[in-house]
Amino acid sequence: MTALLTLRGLAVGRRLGPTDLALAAGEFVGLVGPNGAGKTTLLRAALGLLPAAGHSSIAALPITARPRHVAYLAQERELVWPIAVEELVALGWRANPDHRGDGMAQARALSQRLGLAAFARRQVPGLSGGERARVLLARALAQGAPLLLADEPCAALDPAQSIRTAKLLRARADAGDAVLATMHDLPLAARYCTRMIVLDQGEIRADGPPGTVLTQELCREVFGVAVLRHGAGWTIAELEDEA
Amino acid sequence: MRLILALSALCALLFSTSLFVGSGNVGFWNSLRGYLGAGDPLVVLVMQELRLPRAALAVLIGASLGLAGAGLQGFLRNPLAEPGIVGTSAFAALGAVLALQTGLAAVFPMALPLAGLAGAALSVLLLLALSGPGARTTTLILSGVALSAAAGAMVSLALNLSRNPFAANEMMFWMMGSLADRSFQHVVVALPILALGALLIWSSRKGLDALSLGEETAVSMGVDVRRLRLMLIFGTACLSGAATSVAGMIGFVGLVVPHLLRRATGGLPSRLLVPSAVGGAALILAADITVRVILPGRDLKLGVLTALIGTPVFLHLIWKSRGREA
Repeated sequence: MTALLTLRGLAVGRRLGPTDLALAAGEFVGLVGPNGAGKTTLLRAALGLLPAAGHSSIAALPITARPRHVAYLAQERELVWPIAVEELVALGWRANPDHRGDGMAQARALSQRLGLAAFARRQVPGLSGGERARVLLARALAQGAPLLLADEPCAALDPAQSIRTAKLLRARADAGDAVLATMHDLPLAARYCTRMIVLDQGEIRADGPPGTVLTQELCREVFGVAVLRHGAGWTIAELEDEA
Repeated sequence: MRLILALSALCALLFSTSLFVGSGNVGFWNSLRGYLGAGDPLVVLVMQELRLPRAALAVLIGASLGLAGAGLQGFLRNPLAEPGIVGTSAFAALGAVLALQTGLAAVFPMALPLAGLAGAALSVLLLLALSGPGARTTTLILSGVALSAAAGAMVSLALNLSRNPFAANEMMFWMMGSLADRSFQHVVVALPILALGALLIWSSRKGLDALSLGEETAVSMGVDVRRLRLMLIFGTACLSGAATSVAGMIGFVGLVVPHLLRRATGGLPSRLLVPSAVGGAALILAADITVRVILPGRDLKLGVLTALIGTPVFLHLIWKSRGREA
């Protein structure tokens, strides 16, 4: 299967140890780990946004060629200028050198498909944190790149929107794209991701299907929580000795 | 587009008005004959050699300051930024003051704008040396503030050490900013540099839009932020440096005009560039007409008037941003 992202020995000082990773088309990978584990550092280094040792297939590309291959949803959600939702989404379309035109029609269609129509004509700085997060995700998707690196795409979203977003990312993967998303909601990641990577103190502790990655021992050791599986769903609970 | 057309129409109206307003009580028809090269030779001289270049410089300088302000605000993602923040205007003023102080300007009149341009060029080199080509925004702003302070101190020193009160007066009045008594030579000196600056800012428009989403997202969208930063610094330096070199310090235009037009243009930095340039030209034309009309014969300085207009708008901006932070 074609690898859309390859990392070989990618390392960033003390924040990220030498990391090998290959991401293929059709995968929705949930990158999980406690705060400070190095999740964002890994994404940023993979994109070439940080000085890093080792190799990243994306960072190795010329800057102008990257939008064709990868879209990025950053953690930063602040927007200073009074830009309307559809206009912002269209910026994503225009970033891809293969796209022609101003992208307004595509942005409108995508906004409707993602349920942003209710506030599509409003200006982004006036939206709530959750609405803004959805608009920025739409901007990244509008780029039409086969690989999406998303830093906490479900942050600030209510439970229903979190599920919709996870399903949307899974649908992208099922359609042949690849998604690498940092996530904190373990049950949500386990439910929708095709693969999970647990990062702790800058090192990959586990990598594989959610069912094999989220073991009791690992969750206790890395996250300090108990994880319970029931059917297709998961819940997390306090450790018994702390209860 | 409608906004640009409306502002252009306003600009054309103010330009025409500017051609027929002045201290000499010449009258409309005599002025018109003067522009066409007929009638009293003195009137011809005043119209063609003083008023026409004055109006042309008002357009060029206003457009430059408006464009530089819009570009820099987009780059710094800060509506309170103005072209002078990178220190170029202060150094251009220092260069011009030194030309006056050394007497060079008395021997060769064009030494004044040329020394201003040399000061502006020096400021860019110092800014890059101080902050580095890959500097982050805060470092860039702090470096600009430090350079402006240094240039201000050196201007004060030049004033302090001036040989006589008349020389000091000349420097003080020059720094207040004016378009009076400028010739086409000033236009010729400034135009190529202003055009280069405008080209640099205009070429950065796509990058500025992407930068609205933050530096890292912009890089992921294919923007070489380091290159964009250099283009913006050089572009702003060309525009504000050349403008200050021929007209002295004219503040607030680059701050106020983009701010006033931002909502009407939809917020994208690229869409603000042309309206800000045309709006800046209109504002300077209007201000230059006003200084000739409200206090004829008293030589009210253009920079003083723009500061009087700009300060309340600036205070309003601060008041609004204070409300947002609360």
